[in-house]
Amino acid sequence: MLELARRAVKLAEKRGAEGAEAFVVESSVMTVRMASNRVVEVKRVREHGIGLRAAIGRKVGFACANELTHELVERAVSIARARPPDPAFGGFAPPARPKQVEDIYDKTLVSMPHERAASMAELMLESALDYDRRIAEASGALTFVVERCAIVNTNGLSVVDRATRVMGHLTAEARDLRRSEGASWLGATRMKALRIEEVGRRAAELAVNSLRPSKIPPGSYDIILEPPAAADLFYHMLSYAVNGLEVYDRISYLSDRMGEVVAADELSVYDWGNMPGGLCSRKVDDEGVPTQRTPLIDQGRLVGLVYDLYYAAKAGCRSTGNGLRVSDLPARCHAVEPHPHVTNLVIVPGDFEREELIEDTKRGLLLSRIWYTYPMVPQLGDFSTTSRCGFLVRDGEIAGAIEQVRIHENMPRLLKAISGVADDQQQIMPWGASASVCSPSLRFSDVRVG
Amino acid sequence: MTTMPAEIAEYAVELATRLGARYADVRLERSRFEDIVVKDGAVESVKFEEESGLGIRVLAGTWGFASTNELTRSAVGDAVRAAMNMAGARGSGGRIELAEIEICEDTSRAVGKKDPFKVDLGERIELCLEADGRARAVEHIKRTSTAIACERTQKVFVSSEGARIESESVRTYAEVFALAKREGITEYADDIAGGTGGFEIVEEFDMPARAEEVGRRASALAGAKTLPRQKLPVVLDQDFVALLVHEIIGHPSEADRVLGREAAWAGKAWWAGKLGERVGSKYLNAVDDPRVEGALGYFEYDDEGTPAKRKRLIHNGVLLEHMHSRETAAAFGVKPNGGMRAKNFRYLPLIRMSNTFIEPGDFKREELFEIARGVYLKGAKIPSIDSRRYDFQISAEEAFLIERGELVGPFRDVSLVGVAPDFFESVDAVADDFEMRPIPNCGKGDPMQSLHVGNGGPHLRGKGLITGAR
Repeated sequence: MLELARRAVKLAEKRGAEGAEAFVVESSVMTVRMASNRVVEVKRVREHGIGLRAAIGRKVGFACANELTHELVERAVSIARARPPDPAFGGFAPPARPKQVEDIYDKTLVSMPHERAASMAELMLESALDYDRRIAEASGALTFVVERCAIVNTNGLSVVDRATRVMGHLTAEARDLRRSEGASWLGATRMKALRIEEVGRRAAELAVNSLRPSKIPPGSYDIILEPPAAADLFYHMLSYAVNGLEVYDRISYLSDRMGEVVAADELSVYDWGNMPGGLCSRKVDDEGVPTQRTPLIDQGRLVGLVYDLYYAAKAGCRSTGNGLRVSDLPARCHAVEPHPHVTNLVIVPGDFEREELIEDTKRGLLLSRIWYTYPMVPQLGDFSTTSRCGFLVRDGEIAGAIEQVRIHENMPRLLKAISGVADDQQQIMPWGASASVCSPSLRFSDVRVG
Repeated sequence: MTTMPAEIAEYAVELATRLGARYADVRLERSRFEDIVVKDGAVESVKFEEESGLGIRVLAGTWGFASTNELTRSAVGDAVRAAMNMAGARGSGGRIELAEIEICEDTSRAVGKKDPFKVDLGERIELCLEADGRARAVEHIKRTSTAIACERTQKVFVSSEGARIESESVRTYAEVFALAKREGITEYADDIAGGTGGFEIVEEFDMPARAEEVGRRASALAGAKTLPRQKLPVVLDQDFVALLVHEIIGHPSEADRVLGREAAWAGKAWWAGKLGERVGSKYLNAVDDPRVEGALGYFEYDDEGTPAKRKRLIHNGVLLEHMHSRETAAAFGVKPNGGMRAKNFRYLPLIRMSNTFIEPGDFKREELFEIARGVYLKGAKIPSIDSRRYDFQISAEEAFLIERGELVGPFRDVSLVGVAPDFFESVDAVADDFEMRPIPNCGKGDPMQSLHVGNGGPHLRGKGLITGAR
């Protein structure tokens, strides 16, 4: 791969490029999908490809294809020739000697047989179905990702990187007079860290506990989000807000807020691209900048944003190693140019136990899963979401399941309304996410529900 | 683009059959993509992409699928064997039945009038820059962007039942965006054209004029107030209707959702088991039709080789039909209606919308505004929908109060909140001014597949709860 990348850069220079960068990738994504209590699909995407950026002065052309061909190189260079310059282009990454990130590659996952993957999925199903006779249906998916890449540029950068991960989720449905559901997630970069049965049991437990829900009146409640729900909220409502591109575009509600108090002092958040065991960890980002731990919110104060080289240059700062090539496939992709994106978003755990947050809540809701959390008005941070699994908390105790509620709230207000951070941090890949979120349970005061 | 080596697809199907597949199909694809993005007066990105590959789907114990972008006999053979292994990895789950379809040998071509790839790159860049400049010239505008993209896809579908369908399609897009800031209030507006066709789509869109218009809208919104929460009649424009149809008619009409097979992620459908029942007022008529010429979801055959078919989803308020694969059609005991599509060769097809829309009614648009008081919602921004597609909230780009037939506004940051059956029942007027809109990034699947679809409808009037900024 490295040799291919070097050849591409040399060819680009021969054709007239003053600078060039080649990103070569090989990936395999295997997914076992479960529905209606059985494995219904086993599928695999195997990819290789090359993305080439050629620069003439401040003019950059990008071309990508499955194979390195003369046409690919000619395309990248001819685009650079034909287009006007972009004053914001500040060049490709400097050479670097990044350290290998611990615990992000496992050979066992590279050669995972289909049969074993299917057996693991069946174990997830069985652990849910065997939990309680009221569990009627279970469905979900288990995905194995292997990725390798090489990045070479005319600044002398030459680096290879690799990672593996497994991501899974299971939704169990319980039935008596009515239906209820519970869900659970797993994520690991090594086989040994996988706890397959726990996923099924936890989903089933939540589904059974959610039976016979009560309708709650609309009003103001303290809300405790368990890690999957908190991860969903922070991925969809914080990750764009701390993205250097969205801040530049003024779509972020944190634009022009650097250095200000934007959250309760209990909240500290950082992006950690080289987190050991991180589901989206990597040695370098997708343009070769070493990844790092970037503080974003420190005890309530906005202290950082995530950047690639291009938007860092626009903002007059340094790349934070967050130039990612994100596509639909949960693996590095040659066919996309780098843009700023969070990697592993980490919410620093607090000192409370989850149970203490509950005990300390007089009138509240405990939400295990929220769904379709999107910014209704992104520049204000207004969002809307629905609960998929929740409970009423009364006088410090869980007082039964609740019917689905809709929450239409404002993220800047909620960040300041955090009144408790637990110590039960869990790493989750939310739905549709290209980053992981490590979150503990979080409590927010006076949230408008219904 | 050069012709594709169709024999490799035939080889894959033959090999799968020889290895014992009950059924196999192959999608061999080649695509080319070009994209220009201009932001704030500078060209930010010019991209060229070319790719080819093959996806093989086999049915043995269960579905097995493998894709490769290496089109050699050896790599394709490996993919076939992998798919067979995967399909055989689990056979305990009950026999999957496929409803019969007409086995077709055909070719189809939908490439539009003017090949966008032959329009000089410099000319396309110049058009983006000109449009961007027009938006930036509007007072209070702080950010602008414009884009033109085009994609050509050639596909060969071969199945073990003897189908062989070759197709070629071109899709072209243009987009303009502007963001304004006035006295601490930031607002944005955008507009997009997209369809199955060539550069004529960009020309008809008139990017410079549209860009100036979105600049004006954004600027006006940044100086506007929001509205308090209230329940009242709402008139929705075609853009808002397109997103509403997408979220609360299109998605719950996917039979895999209805059967609970997407329960883990995407969710279910609230109207499961209600075929033949009334789900809305008599004015509500909804259709999914892949053959709307020029629309973004246009196709002649789906990715199972089923001929495209118009599906009457809701007729006079009664739920009539879902979108099907061959497998779900067999489960429902109906004929397949061509609902299966994959983003590209990498992915297993899923049941997806093609062009899903509310049919035009008999009212003139002006008649919808003949009310004492209401709200007119124009343009759609972002949806939040529950997992059964029952409870929804969708934000509009602009809102206007309707006071005795007159429009007052605009107002900013307004969204419509409701539950699907109540809103459908409240629809009391549907205009005759039907239009289609492009939705280039409908998400579904695991792994996610963002897919292009068409959605649309005319202006319609119902009743709902509107809410302003929090």
